[in-house]
Amino acid sequence: MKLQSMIQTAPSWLGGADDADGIVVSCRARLARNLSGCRFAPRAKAPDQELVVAEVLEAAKQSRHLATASFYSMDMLDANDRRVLVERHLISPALAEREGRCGVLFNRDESLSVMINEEDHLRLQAMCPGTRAESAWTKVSALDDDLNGVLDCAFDEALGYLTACPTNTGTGLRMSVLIHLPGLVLTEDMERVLQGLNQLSFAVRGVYGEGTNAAGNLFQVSNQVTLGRSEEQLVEDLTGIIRQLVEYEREAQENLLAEARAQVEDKVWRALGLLSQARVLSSQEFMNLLSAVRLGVSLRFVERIPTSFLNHLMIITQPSHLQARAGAHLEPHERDIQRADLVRRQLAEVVA
Amino acid sequence: MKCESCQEREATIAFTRITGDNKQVLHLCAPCAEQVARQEAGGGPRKAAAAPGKGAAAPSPAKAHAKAPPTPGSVKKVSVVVGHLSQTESTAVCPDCGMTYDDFRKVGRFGCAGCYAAFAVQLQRLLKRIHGTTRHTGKSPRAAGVPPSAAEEMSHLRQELDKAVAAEAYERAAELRDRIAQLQAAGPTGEEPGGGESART
Repeated sequence: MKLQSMIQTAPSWLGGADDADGIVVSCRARLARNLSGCRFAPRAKAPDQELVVAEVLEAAKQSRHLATASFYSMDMLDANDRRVLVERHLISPALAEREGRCGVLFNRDESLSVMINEEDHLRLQAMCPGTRAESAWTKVSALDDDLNGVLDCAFDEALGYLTACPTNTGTGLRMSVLIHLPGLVLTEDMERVLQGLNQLSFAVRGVYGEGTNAAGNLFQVSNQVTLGRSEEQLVEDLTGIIRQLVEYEREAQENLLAEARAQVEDKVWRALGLLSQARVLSSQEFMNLLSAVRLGVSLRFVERIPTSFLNHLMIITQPSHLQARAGAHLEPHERDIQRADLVRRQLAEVVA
Repeated sequence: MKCESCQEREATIAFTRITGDNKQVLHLCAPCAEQVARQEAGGGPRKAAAAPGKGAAAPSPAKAHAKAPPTPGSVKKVSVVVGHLSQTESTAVCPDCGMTYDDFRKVGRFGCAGCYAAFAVQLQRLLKRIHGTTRHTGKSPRAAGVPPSAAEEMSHLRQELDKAVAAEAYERAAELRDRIAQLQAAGPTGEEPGGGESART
């Protein structure tokens, strides 16, 4: 258990987004890069993997953006610690499962990270709270410039950056937003919105990326096209999508209030009541209740709870965070008790 | 890739069957493809298609037929497209990592940067399908602050010109054409001689 101190603190990118009613949780910019002359990660042999790690760590030392960064090699972490990193969005579920030499480098406030030997040799990621898609891009681009100054990245004038999967070729840039859309789900407009996003070549996933459910009405929306549009255009595209989704969500929330204000208010306060008093909370029930409280914060029914608190709560109640806190493996029913206990104590502090 | 019908010989033909709104692609060897095509064209006995099939799990033509409506009167319009995977396309090998295009199709990931050159022909189609284009218009690894080379600027201007023409923004197109002409007059751009300027303007 190496990450004990980490689980007590919240990543900076969950600092809350008061600029859009807390609807937009965070934005992420991710770049895929590979070293020319080395086999891509899925086919790399041990010496290749070693070489990539050594070169990237050397290059990282020279970047002021990673001055406070530490490297965590996957083979030095136990399964629960790896999952803690997944729950904090510092690594992908795929890296947590990967064998061979691979790892992650991230700075102290967790806003910037570099996965090494995931699907691509490098996956650079910047996270920012709220709607700051452009800040996330600027941050990851600056790190990319630093690393590109030292590393020889696989690049083709016509096709751009060469990546292991052709769905990332070109810019290698995936811009994404984590957004809370309870109004659209309640008014049953989400299906229509999903179709629209699909037509615009945007993918919609759950909180933990590919193959995960949209627990707690949280959706991750990201561009699918990476070739033929410049990075700035991709940032603008996402910014436009965010603006529109926020507008739709606000409209849905207003409609809900107009039609059933008392019921919505009741849903919010009941959720807060349950979270404050429950003795057993499954992950799914917790996420649903948290969503209702978050909606209450958006609608300003609940004023004493900042969105940053809700974001933090969402992370520290994840299974591996609970196990890290307990310092032991917990069965699901034991976790549900620990979760309820933690939520109750945290809420008592903020509401008191 | 093995033939999806006989599961024995190498597949060299992509056989596309369109039934109503359904499209089905089978990768077949030449003898199986010929047999299936004959049946589709002549409406021959459908059972015959089952003969080469071995594994029940494989998406063999026999299985596809099983889904077809039973009475001839209810059979939807069937059209058949037969396309050859050229020998060079299906068996292309990356000289750097040894990956074949068939390997790539199975795993969906390239083995190394060299694969992009080795499978250049197939990639044009694939990238177009995924991204709608095959031309990068973003960042390059060039150190920050260094101005783009004349060749890069020329390439960028040409793309802009294409876009302007497509959008029927003729004033902008004229400006771009003039800028390209200026660049050409200024000296070598690193382009091959006779690179088709006249065709583009």
